[in-house]
Amino acid sequence: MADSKKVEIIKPPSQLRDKVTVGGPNAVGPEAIARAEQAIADLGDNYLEWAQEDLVKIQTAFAELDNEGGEDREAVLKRIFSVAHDMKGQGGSFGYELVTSVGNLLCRLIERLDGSVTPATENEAIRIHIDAMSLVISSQMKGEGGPEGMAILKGIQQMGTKLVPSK
Amino acid sequence: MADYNLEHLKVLIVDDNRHMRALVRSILYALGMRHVEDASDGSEAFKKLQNFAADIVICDWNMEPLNGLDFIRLIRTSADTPNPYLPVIMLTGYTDANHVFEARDCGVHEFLAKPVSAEQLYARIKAVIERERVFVKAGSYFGPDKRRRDDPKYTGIERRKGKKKESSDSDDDVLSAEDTDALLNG
Repeated sequence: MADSKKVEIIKPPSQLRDKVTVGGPNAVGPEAIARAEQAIADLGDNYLEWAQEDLVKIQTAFAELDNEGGEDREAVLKRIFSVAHDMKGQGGSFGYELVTSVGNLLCRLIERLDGSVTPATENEAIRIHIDAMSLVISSQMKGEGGPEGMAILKGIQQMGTKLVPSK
Repeated sequence: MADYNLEHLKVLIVDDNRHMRALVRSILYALGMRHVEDASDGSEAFKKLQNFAADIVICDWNMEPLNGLDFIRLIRTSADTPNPYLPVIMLTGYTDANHVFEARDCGVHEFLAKPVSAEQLYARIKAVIERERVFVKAGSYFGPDKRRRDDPKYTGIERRKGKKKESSDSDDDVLSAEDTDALLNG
């Protein structure tokens, strides 16, 4: 009993401070940060290609939701969640914040699926989100997408909540 | 705050998404780092650590076969670990309080929400350098001290200093909104 309450404090043997230097021409200042942001922007040229690959993956998985002889529904939903989660995590880095926002809504939607609505209704709610991401990417709608982007986001938010209400 | 030269630091990126690995690697190179390796899941990463003495791990959560949390547990507690004190920055899309809480309890040093920016990633690296953390071994927990700062308003037991104030068992078990925000935003 006494041992379970025992607290041991340990100072790690080496600290990162010993491995870095301060200042100098190679130190990280505003220029290095700008270079790093530029490196991200350069990768952004590839982003739409990556996003297209993700869209194909998520659309393929979605098509399997109706395939009764295929993978179990839970497993397919997990795959859809995984791709949506990746898209959520990447869009904003490359200036596609709307992809991140819609991806987040899709993840939250899948998390609240508990069998309280029919599979057809669940599918419809998921489809709206996938179609929105497809539209954002195909029309290269950067940032939050302006008034059109706001309208898309509001629309799928309302439809998602209407079809699969939050508890 | 100081500007650091990071060229001697070794970093291991662990993410199952190759685009994320490419993105993080590009940021690190632009920040002047030269020693960067990557792995696509916790199992591959743990093997890499046997031959690559990383100073920092930047780790995703959701990976197969071995996810980020199980990988961190291996780093902290496995008999084969090359460095149980290895600083870990968790880079993930899971940003709700429960996930942040779980990551902290698993022994991460810093938490960073995807999508990532260069400035945010450098801020976390700086935090790992500047906030030198002692490690705590208490019950089943082994990892960096979960308390990120001294709180003058804290009235519970000062367990680690042996000073008894008022009885409270909640200091390590409840993550306040402020703590969650601090973990997410540095």
